[in-house]
Amino acid sequence: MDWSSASAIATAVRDGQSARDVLEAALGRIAERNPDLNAFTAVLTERARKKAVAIDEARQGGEPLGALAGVPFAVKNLFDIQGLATLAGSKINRDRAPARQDATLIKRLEAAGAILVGALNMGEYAYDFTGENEHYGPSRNPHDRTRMTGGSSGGSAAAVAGGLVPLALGSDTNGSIRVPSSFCGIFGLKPTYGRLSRAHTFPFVASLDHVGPFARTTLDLALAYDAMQGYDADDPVCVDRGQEPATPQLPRGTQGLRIAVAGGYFEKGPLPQPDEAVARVAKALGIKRQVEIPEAERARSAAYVITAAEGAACHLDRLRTRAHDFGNASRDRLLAGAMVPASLVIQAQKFRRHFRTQMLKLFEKVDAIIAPATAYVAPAIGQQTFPLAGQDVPLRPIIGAYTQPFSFIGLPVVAVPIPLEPLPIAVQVIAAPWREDLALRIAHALEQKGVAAAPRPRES
Amino acid sequence: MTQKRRPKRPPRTTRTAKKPLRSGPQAAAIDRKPPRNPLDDYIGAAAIALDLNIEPAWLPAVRENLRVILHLGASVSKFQLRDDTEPAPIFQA
Repeated sequence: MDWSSASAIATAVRDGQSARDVLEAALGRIAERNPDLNAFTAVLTERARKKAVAIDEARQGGEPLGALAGVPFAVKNLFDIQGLATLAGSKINRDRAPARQDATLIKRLEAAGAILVGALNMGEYAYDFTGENEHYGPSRNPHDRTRMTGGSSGGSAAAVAGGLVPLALGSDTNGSIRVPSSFCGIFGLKPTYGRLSRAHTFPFVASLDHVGPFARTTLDLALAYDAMQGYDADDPVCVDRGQEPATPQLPRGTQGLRIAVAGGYFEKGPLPQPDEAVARVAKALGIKRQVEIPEAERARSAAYVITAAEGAACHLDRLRTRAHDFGNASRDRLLAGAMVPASLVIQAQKFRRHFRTQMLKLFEKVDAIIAPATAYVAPAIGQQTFPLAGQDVPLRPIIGAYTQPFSFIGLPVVAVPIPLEPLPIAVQVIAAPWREDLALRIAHALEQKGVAAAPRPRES
Repeated sequence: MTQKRRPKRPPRTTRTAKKPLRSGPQAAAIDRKPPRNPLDDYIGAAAIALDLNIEPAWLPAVRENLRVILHLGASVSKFQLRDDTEPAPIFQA
């Protein structure tokens, strides 16, 4: 079951395959590949074995098994795991008391039969687009170990793209699910703001934080998403909409959907790969229409300002008392963020309202928008600049340039990997609020047409 | 008729417009230092107000990060919004 999908594993386990055997194979892959990929910061061998045995006993007892029966999964280490300190990629959080309970989404995946096997590396406190970490080392891209995974959910993407687990959870404040999906060539879902519970996860920017799944197929992504839906009073922004399952919608295809490609700001990329990926998608879906995202660049700027200020507020006390224990890059940005005048932050929040109104008007005319996820394929680990028009320009600040405008107003987005050679890159399928089903349908259609796929790394 | 052109004033900056505070060897030592970035005064004051310690080695990176944030914030502030536009600190899709 080495590269099996979550859905294939669950089907096999329901049909009699031993969940314990599936788990031991996954633990073996983690032991073999993690030293290279540095995706895991903790492996929960005994806990996972107990769960696998319980699933096998349930099957033998004739009990019904869940949609994710026996599926090994792992979570970014900002999710609370009972008995572990929630690191959130930091050194400081090692001193936290062990979590007293699992995060809500872990409970929900386990209720569907999935088996938690570990915690995953990430950028410090999620303020990161690279997947690098000064305390725990960089997660490495399974397609090329010298390259970034993208961040901040870098370990999540490495674990799924590298075949260690078929399913992982991450968080996305400005692009931290979509950027690693792009660099590592896997599917990722950033749901609508307020859709999936963030309860018992370590926060970064409360008004921008989302959580969501990574997988190698759209069916797995939809199965995980459906298993995690539902109101949770423990997350104050979680909206009570009831279940809106996406999995049954996948086979409906794109017939009748109004899909457009984002122009303007999203066409200004310095390198050809994003345009090539978007062109393949447009051709496959017969998209002729282009739309302008109004004030996309300003939306990205406003998200940047809010992130700096809210992120700093989250860490203000730690900046006072333990500034030396932050990584350099995090500390310097958070200190700067603490000094942003309130007037600029409030203006950015007012602009957010305006931008939301404009985007909702746009969604009266289209059902979904296609845009690149990143301006380039995975850069080298440690790379600081890239050549543009004869100059070296800073690389890191603009990694999230295409993702930030959409998370800024909480739109649902599926990152869809396009297997370019030698490295993959993703496009974003963006839908109106609460229409994850449409974005997943489009992603599924692209997968069915052979345009989108999570390529298996050559080195594996 | 020809007009006499006024001699141009040298461009004013906060530092060149001021007289040296001291004279003698101490002043020469001060003059040799690179000009202080105007943001540094703000960073110093904000650090005091917020009870933060900014070590000298951290200052260039903090300054550069703050410069970028302020630049992006200024581009947002330039955008004309109605006075009654409500902020959206918690976005409700």
